[in-house]
Amino acid sequence: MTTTAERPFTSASFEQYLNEKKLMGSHCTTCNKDFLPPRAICPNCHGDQLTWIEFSGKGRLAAFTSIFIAPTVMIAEGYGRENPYLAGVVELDEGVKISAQILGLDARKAEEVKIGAPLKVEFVERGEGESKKMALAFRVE
Amino acid sequence: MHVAIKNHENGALNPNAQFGMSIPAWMEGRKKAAEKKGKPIPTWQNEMDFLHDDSANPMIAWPLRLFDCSPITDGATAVLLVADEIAKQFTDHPLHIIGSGQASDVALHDRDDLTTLGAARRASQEAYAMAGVKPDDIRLAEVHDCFTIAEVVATEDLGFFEPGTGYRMAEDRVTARDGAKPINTSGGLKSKGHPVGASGAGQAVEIFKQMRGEAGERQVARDLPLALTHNVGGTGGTCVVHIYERRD
Ligand SMILES: [Zn+2]
Repeated sequence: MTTTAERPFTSASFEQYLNEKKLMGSHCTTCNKDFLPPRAICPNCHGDQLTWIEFSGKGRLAAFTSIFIAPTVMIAEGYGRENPYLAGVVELDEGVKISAQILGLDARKAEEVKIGAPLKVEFVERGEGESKKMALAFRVE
Repeated sequence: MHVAIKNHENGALNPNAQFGMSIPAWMEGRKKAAEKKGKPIPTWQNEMDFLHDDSANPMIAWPLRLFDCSPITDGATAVLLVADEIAKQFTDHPLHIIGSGQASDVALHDRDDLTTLGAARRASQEAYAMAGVKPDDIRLAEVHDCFTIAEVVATEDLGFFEPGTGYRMAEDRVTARDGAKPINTSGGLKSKGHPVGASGAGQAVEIFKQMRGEAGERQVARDLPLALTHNVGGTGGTCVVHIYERRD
């Protein structure tokens, strides 16, 4: 098992953490900015002194859409024309934003979804066998 | 939705368009097909009626419906690009690229505002500065209408219209072929089609035809000495803007 310190700041590592039900990003020790998904080089000060940071997983809905024509992976989950799902941008309490599936709201009534709704992270198991992994989602509190 | 009506109206006059059919013609086709099959004939009163019909124009990603989205297209484009000094060896009426700008932006979820593309703003400012012209000087533009809302946002980012007012321009026919600022006379990505790798150069082809008066039935009936193309990559992560001049 790789320890936190040894994992490179890649999307593979980010997904590995999701599988462990952890929402992990990187933190620049030079300029104090956080990045999610993690960045190896700080986009703000271009420094390379970054460390892993775990996010609380609490935040608010910043933007969203309701998807009726779904990609293959979501069709396999039973989503589609008759069963749309919400996808959105979540602003975490720590100030960073990330896109994810939004749970706990009616995707058929997009007009009623409120920007600013409080959300909490949820890890959703997706796929079967070897391709089984955790997907990032947020649920209305 | 008015962007879709306008772009299909233009595309209907473009023999190379993938969906070169106006929305009224589309409605007629659907009515005839229903009649032929002995099914109830739809009772749409007008284009907006049709575009709000869930069965005729289903939701794709709320609030965007089928007719708000550009199609997946096969296509190719060729442009002959040469130095100014030798251009006359190839044609008596070359167009000159007098401004060019390229800019990039952060990932979609990292942006502060989703009603503008920062890359488009920066790329166009760069192109305007190089050309020494202002948005008001541009007579004609082909913009990246991958979705109807993208055309609205593009016309605001390019400085043609104030932020928040772009949506009215297709409805008020400002961006129609006979309007003050014709946009996407080719039919745009929406009606002409969106063969991703060829879409950008395809915009230059339309500008070339229009500025030389060779656009046939869809020719803009005004002099077009200055025009612009705006092409976007990804979800607005990159944008390229060119400004073209005809010198008589
Ligand atoms: Zn930094």
